[in-house]
Amino acid sequence: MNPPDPWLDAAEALAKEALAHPGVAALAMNGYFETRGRGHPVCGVALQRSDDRAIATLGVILAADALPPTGIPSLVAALRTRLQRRWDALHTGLPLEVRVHVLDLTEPPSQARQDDQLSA
Amino acid sequence: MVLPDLPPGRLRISESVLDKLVIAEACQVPGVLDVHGWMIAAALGGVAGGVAGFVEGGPVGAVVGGAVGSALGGATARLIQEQHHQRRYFEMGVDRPTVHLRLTGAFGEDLQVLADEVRRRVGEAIEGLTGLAPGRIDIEFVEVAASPVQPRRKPQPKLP
Repeated sequence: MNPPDPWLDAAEALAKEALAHPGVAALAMNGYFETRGRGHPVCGVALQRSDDRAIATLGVILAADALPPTGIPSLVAALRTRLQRRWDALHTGLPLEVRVHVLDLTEPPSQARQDDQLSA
Repeated sequence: MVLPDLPPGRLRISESVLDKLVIAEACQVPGVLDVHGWMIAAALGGVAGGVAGFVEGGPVGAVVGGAVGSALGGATARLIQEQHHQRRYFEMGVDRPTVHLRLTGAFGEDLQVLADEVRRRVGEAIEGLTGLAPGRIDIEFVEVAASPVQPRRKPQPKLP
């Protein structure tokens, strides 16, 4: 059994925190946004370490119906704040830079069903 | 230990997001009957960036009203997905997306005025929702057609 990997655990904590944000519908599932270590890779967040900071690169799909009137930047700012708090609670000793890639917007589930029925 | 404050990290927004915003907004402008194709490229420092070619969707149907998602049919959404095997991103504060739309206008509309209105609304939608400052927004009318007439309903008998 692999010993615990704190870096992977930190990535997983950030991924869970991002998914808990009401404006985030899903995280990216491809390899670019992935953290690898000892254990299962964490999808949605690529957590890297440089000399003076940690860098979390998130791939997010946002919920269109949760977008505030002020748009994507303010939603992302709120997400950043949330991730920074979670990161601070991990006491890694490194500051965190959060880079966000907005991959897509999802429509509300009821609307998607309606559209699919119309196009069928 | 007090950690130093870092500047906010970069924000990149995918072309898929812009596609949905642009089409949804264009479809909601009165006088626009259909969106036949669209193209979004990055203008870097005023120089047009790479051009991937038009997304030709055929008429996507003018759907009036609703928010971002409701103006897009399932077929259109799938078409967008197919076009994005290679996703491109626009970075806030760096890239200025340029948009080229091919539309069907309603017969009898002043197309110059209609183009100005589409340009204004699409520009505001991009800037307001993504924070990206759009560059050029070019409008091309490829067709003019009569507005669909709403079918008249049969008068319902009044209930006592």
